[in-house]
Parts: sequence; C-alpha cells; structure tokens
Amino acid sequence: MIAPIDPVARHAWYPLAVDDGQALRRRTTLLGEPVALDRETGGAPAATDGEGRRLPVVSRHGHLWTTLGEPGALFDIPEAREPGRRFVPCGRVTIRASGLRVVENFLDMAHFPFVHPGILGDEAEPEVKPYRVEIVASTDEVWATECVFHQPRAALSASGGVEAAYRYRVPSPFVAMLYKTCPARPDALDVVGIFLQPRHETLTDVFPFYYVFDEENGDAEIAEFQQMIFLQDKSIVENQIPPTLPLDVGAEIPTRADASSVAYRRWLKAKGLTFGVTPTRDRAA
Amino acid sequence: MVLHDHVLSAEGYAVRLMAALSGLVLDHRVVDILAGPATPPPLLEIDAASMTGVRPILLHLAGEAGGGWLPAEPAGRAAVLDWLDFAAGNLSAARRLREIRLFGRPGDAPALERAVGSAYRRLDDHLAERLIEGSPFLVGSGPTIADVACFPAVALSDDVGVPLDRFHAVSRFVDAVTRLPGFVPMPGVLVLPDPLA
Repeated sequence: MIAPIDPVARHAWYPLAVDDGQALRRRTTLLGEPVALDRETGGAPAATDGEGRRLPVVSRHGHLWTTLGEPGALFDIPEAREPGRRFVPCGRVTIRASGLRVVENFLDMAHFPFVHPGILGDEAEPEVKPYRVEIVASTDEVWATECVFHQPRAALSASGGVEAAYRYRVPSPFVAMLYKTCPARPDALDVVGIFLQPRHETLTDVFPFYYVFDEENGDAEIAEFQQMIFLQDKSIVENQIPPTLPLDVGAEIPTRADASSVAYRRWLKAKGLTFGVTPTRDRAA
Repeated sequence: MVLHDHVLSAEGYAVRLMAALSGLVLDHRVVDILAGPATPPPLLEIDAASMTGVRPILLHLAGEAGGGWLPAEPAGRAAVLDWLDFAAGNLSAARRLREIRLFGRPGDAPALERAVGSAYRRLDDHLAERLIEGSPFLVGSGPTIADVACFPAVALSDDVGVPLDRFHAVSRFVDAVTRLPGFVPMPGVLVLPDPLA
C-alpha cells in the first residue's frame, strides 16, 4: 500500500538539485510522486509534477527547492552571509532508508568512534557527555546544544585532535545541520548539513553541504571529506530495521546519548508527520 | 607517485588498496567525481609520465612492489592478466550499477543487475574451486593484483545492490582480502571482526 502524503510532508520544501547555474534535466520522484526539473542554458529552472502541473521553484542555500503543496517561507541560514565563509555543495547520494532515519543518524554522536574511527571519534573515548536538547517553540525547530566530543580529525582543516563543540539544528523534518568548532578559526563555527529529498518512504536522495572557513583546501577536497564521512554512515543507516522511523514510545529503547533523537521523534509526532514513519501498530486488531 | 582519484571511486580504491597492501606510498590529489557525467578512471603520475586506468597502474605497482603480486611463471602470469581483463570487463557492470544506485547516474539498471549476477557467479564458481584447492585467492596461494583488481566490485556489493548471499566463495574471498596485512577499507566496504581472532 502506498501511504498518502500527510500535510506536513506535502507542504514542506525539498531540494531537487545543486544550483550551479548550469542547464539541467532531472526526472525523479518526490514523496512518491513523479517530478521533473528542467533548466535551459541561461534560463530559469522549472519543476512540474506527474500531471504536468507547474510546481514552485526557489534557489536557496546553493540548491533548487520545490514543494508539492503550499509551503511557508524556507528556513534561513544566517551564517551563510558571513564574510569569508565558503559554500561547498557535496553532490547527491542515494540512501535506501527513510529520510527521517538519515536525519536521526546525523544527530547521533554515539556512533562517531565506531563508524568514523580516527576522524570524528576515537574508540578509546566513546562517551557521549550530557548535552541540552530543546524544541524551540518560536521557530518550531529542534536544537541540541552544549555537545562536546573528542575528535581525532574534526574537519579537513584540522591538524590534530580537538574537543569539538557541536550544536545541532533541525529546521525542517528532512533537513539537519550542525555547527561545530572550526579547526582553522577557533572563534568561528563551521556549518555542515544535509538537505534531503525523500523520493519514497524508504528511498532518500541526500545533498550534503558545507559553509566553512577554510583557505587551504579546494572545493573538491572539502567535498570529498564530507562524502567520505557520509558514505561511512550509509551502510549503518541502510541496515536499520525497520527502514522507516518508529515514533511509538517504546518501539526502540533510547539511552541518555539519544536525547536529540527522542526530541526529534517527539517533535515529528506532534507535527503529525507520517511520511517515512513506521505505521503505528493497530492495537484494536 | 601521485594518484589522482576520489575516496568514493571504486577503481581508485583498487589502486589505493594495492599501495596499502604492498607498502607503497602514494600522494593523493582529489578529482571531483560527482561533478561530471561519468567517473574518471584513476590516474597515476610518475615523474613526468602518467598512466590511466586500473590495469596499467596495478601492473606498474606490481613491478615497484616486487614479490608475488604478478607471478613470473607464464601460467600464473597469464591467469592474472585474464582476471585483470575480467575486472575491467565483466565486473565493470558492478561499478556502473553502483554509480546508478549511489549517484543517480543514468543507465539500464535491470540489464546491469543481470550482468553483475553472472559476473559474480563466474567469480564464485572459480573461487569455489580455488577453495577446494586450498586457496581463497584467484591465482596461486597468495594474493596477486588479480585479487586487488576484482576486490572493489564485490566488496562494495551493498552499494551495488546485489547481495553476496548467493555467492559464498566470493564472501570468503572478500573476507580473506580484508585480513591481509596492510588492508585498508573504503566507505561502503564492511569489515567484519575475525571470529577466530
């Protein structure tokens, strides 16, 4: 059975391509619906759904976004306007799992030492120290703050291990970002994130991106670092069962380190999102 | 020697793996493989010269490394060269299917999936015979560049989307290569702990 698209998913913005200004032609699916994105050389991008209906398109945060519904404003990334910061898009990678599983993995620090050993974590120091989590009512976003993790190589610009400080931000169910200590500029924070295109409930195209301070490395090197980390996560996320995200309390047992996941799931449930969510067991049956 | 490739390139991985297993040190330059329509093959720069593609680079590195990576006796040497062809030919379906599934590259996925299945089957049949003969490797008793050339296409089977469940001898082969001294994985290659260690 194909799940109907819930209003929360329908009215959200989704990325369909990196906006490099070039001509493009993409035939894909969004929330299970066919969509097309086209741009002639020098022209404006146009998106249509399976019935040929014109969909809104905006260019933001280096990507082209569309929606199947009537969305509000796309979230802002104020840091993007800071002088000296570089935007580096990291292409597109397909993951066979719910986008919600991908976001949850992105929020998780406990896997760093085991999935990214020698880079984002050290198997000798696996502890996730307590951190704060809140659902910010005014902006309707999930934030995890005061996160600290020992990282052997926190970024491409790192020359040794650091106690990396993290803040996580979820501005939309299918978007996750983090702010972390910039090794090249200890007074500044690098911004790393993922924009997700949920193609189906359990098939997701991921657009990783960076807003960084890094004067040493080229775009290709910076993108490669992020792509390497992201592909290390891929098989972990794809092997989670079920591939959708359960929101029932007690469906999976969280630990203290999972506080951000608990808040994310609670937030999704309160919104009434169902796309990519494990169907609730029918207890009456 | 400077290797131009990308950490997610399956072909580049064959070269990186060969260097790691044989203790050769390569400098790296990143090529943005996701930007273009097709993944460029790895390129090795040696002084003023350069060579492109897995086969010539592995042959060159085998010469640099010495030892048994390319057997000197004609039968073994011929068999290794055959498997290098197999890796560049039949197994290229796995590389292309992985890029369709991972990076959304265009291509005929169902046809490639059949091609990958038959390439894995041929490899499995040969490796099953080799196991009976007492070796998990493609040629002879130890690893050669034939193993290195074929390894990425099967070790990345998860990304390719063709599970190794039906190919037990191939699974044993993947296991044996991951246990070699100096082995390095790449993202997508799952290294399971040795139950006997």
